[in-house]
Amino acid sequence: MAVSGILAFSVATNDQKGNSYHSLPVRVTRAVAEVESYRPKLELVEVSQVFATGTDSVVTALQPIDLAVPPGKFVSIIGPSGCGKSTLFNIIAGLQRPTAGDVLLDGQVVTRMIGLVGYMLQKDLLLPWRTVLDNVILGMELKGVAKTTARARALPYLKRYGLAGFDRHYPAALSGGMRQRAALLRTLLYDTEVVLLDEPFGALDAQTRSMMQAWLLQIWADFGKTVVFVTHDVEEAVYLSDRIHVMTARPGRIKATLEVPIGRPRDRHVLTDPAFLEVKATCLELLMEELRDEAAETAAA
Amino acid sequence: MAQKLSAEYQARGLTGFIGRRVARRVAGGRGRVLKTPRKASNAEFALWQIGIVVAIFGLWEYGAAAGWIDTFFWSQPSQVWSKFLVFMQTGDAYVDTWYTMAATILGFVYGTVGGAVIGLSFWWSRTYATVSQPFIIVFHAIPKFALAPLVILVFGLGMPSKVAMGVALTIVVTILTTFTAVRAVDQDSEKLMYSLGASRWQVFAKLVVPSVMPWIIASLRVNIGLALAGAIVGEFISSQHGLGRAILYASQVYDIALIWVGVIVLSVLAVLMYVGVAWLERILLRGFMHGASFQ
Repeated sequence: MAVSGILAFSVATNDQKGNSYHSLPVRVTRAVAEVESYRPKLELVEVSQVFATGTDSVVTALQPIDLAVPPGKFVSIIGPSGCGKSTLFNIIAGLQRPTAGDVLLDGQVVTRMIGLVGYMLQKDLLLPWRTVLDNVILGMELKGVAKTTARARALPYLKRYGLAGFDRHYPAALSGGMRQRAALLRTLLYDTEVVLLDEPFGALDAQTRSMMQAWLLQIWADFGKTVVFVTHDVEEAVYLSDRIHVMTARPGRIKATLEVPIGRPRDRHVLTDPAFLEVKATCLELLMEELRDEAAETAAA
Repeated sequence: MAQKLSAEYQARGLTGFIGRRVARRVAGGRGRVLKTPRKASNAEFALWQIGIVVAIFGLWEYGAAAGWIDTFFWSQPSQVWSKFLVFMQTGDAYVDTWYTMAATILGFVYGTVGGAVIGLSFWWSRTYATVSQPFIIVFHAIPKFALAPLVILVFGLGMPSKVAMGVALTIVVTILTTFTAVRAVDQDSEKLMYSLGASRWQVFAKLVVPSVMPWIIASLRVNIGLALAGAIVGEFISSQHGLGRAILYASQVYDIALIWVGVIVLSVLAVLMYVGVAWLERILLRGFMHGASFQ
């Protein structure tokens, strides 16, 4: 029942692609992705999470959540802190077993299966004893690709995406932005079609952050991955995404879904576009509502 | 501005001790001149240190000659020196020194490697780690020297008992250090590895072992000292060779000068081994840390 609802939903949104695609090396080709786009790449079916905090008290982290992400789209999830965004990501990545519900990838149940989606956290988590290049190939290496092969495959990407000449450096010698680039390349070169980004730029200063956003859009256009992005920053969400899901405060559920009617490629000029501002204002209003409710609840309790 | 001011003061002759006083008054008595401890040179430190050593030995020798230090209990530097020459000329010196050094190094290696392996093994099972914990704490609390007679009985009079003492002293410390390090392995990094589809073995080999390495390396310096202490105590209880045995023998025949010779040779050996381990530590850390700071 829920599945068919999601399918109808994704068919409806299928028509509003205003994307101009780049012809750079693409692992999953756009052509294939478009043919199959009637089917969501990633689906969550009534996924919920309840934690036992004591013998008989429980905390509901996630109320049943349904979510469908079309292939090749950039989707953001925003919500007040503690709304369960990270829990949701852990479930999608297979690191955590949801209390109920299933995660579907290409229509197949992948609940509790690891290694099927790329996952990047706010911390870059580069291993200090490995060079940048060896950090980037970690995913390939874990899959059993020979180190020399993996290095040869990764090196051109380092060159193209702003890490030229740093391949032999150790992470300690890199700036925050560079480290995030390396971390993202590690996630992308792992060769999954879906990538989860959990506030990847949260720890960067404003200038580096806006540079990294442009860089991310570029790399996303090149690789053609399906991206699910978590952020606190509404402007960032609107700037990057095709679609935004707003979550409620704990217990988290999807409160609203907004399409971002802005074409691509985007540059910083869209930040003053009336359509952009409208979406941003709506998002902020939805978030403020949540914060007000939360404050009211706290006051009542 | 400041430069202009100081140029002006110079022109007015406000330099040097008196000049600065005047200048301070000119500044209206606000603020103070920053005074930091003077930085002495390395040569100056060395001069002080050598001076202290010379003074101690000089006083000792002089006191013994003057009669207010009892040479029966304390001996005197000149006696110690001549005993040292005799000690070096007899074949025992090298055998003893070598014996103690070999026992120490073996105890150090087995204790460190064994402790690291056991500590790392706790990563694999929380049940196993929790069940083992109290046993390790209890073994840690036992004064290991109290076990020495038993160790000698079990392992015999030869080298194995000295090595066993070294292991007994080093292994628990290493287990505890390694276990602490295992628990400090970054949870998010572990999560990342799993999200990349890593097996437990891969997480262990590619994340846990390298993360724990700096901690194990940091325990090397402590362990070499403990292994030496273990070897000496083993030799004290019962042994046919070793510096510990030489010192014990000297005390039994009231040869105080020989005790000092034993202690001094032992100290030199200890320092040399410490320096060697410190060097090893530096090499290893450079291989593992690459400019990252220690957690």
